[in-house]
Amino acid sequence: MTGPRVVLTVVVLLVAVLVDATALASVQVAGTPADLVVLVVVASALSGGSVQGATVGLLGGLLADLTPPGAGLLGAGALAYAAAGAVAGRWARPGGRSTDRPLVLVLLAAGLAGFVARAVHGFFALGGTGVEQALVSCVVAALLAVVLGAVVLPALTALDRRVAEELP
Amino acid sequence: MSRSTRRARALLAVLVVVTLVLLAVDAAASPGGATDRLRSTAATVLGPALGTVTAAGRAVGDAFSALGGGPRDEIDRLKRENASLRLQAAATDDDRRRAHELDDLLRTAGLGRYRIVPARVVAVANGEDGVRSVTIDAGSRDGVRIDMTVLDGDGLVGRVRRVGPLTADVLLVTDPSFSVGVRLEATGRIGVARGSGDKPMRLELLDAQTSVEPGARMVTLGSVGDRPFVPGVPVGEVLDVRRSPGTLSRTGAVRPFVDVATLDLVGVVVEPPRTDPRDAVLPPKPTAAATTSGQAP
Repeated sequence: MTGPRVVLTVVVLLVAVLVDATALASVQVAGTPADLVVLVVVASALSGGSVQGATVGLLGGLLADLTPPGAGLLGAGALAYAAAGAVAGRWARPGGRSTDRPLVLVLLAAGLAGFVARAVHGFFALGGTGVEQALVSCVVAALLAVVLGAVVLPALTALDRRVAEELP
Repeated sequence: MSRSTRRARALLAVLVVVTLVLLAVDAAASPGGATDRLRSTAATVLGPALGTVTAAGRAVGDAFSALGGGPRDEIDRLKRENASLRLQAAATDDDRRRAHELDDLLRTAGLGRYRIVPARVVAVANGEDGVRSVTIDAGSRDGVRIDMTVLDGDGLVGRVRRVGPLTADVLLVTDPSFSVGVRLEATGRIGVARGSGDKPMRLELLDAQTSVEPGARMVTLGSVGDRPFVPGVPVGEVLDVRRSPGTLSRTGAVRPFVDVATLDLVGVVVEPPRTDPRDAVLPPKPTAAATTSGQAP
């Protein structure tokens, strides 16, 4: 990952975290809010593979966990997004142009992120709700991510390509 | 395996270990511990950024509604005015009742007053079952400290859980870890109300002989030293009460007066009343105008 790409990724992550906590917090379906960070993580994994995806996921998750009000455990979001990034990078075809495959990865990654976050909280006995509700909200989160990703992912990919072209 | 790949993997491994350590420390930490200090450091930087993004979001919303021709500024101003008036008028019924009782029983005129720092909600954290905590744009520089009472025009909002210089995090009444001592307004019976997500709060009455009608209102009992809860803030109304066989208490459901989904302007009680007001929120000190309009006996 080159210098400009690192800067771009950090800036986009920061914006995604802040928008998640403010504007998107009220955009909810069945109690599950929309999430931009997972899309940034998947976009990074698509261009750079699973190690890069997991690293960006960890950093983005830590940032999200540290952003006030931060209701969850510090590090739970980091692990969740890292898993999402690793999985998305594992099955990504670098440079692939088809539009349906990235969205399948978004579906997988977002669902997995939701599941890992709840599993970590459950492990430390902080889960407030039952298993069924947790599963439902994982599925809802995955579907929401696909809807949002259909718009946001192409934009992120285009941004990434432009930065890569300007300073190869 | 190339050198850069190895370096990338090593970086990831280190980050994973750091994250696991943070997770363990945070799970074991008490309030005000190491991870809370880390969070408040982060809040120093991210708090103002959140405020900026919220303001930008409102500006975009304004621009859109301006296209539709709505006098958004005017509406916003009136909304804020309305909210602050309601804040002042919180529990006036209870005030009057208590003022009566105090006047009658104690002949005490020197009622204490709350000092409230107003703040706006700038960020929201959701649980699986609704809003759990929010960030407000007032912090330690505005006099906000940990474990202070937060209220709005409708009643109790929550308590301050974490404080940064410019922002503070508020644990809401809906959070499952939230509990508050309450006093039923009419009978003075005491109990404990606990948050349970978007379901009604759970109420536990300490006296099994009590009969409680649905619709009974309750206020905060107040804590020792007025933290985390000052007394007399309206909490909610009883939906139903049932006797649980074999226990010494009664349980029930309480609908909070505050709608956490639409929180905007809230107040932090930074200075408790100077004299104990028992169970009433006290109104602002009467001005000459208010006295001449003559409501109090």
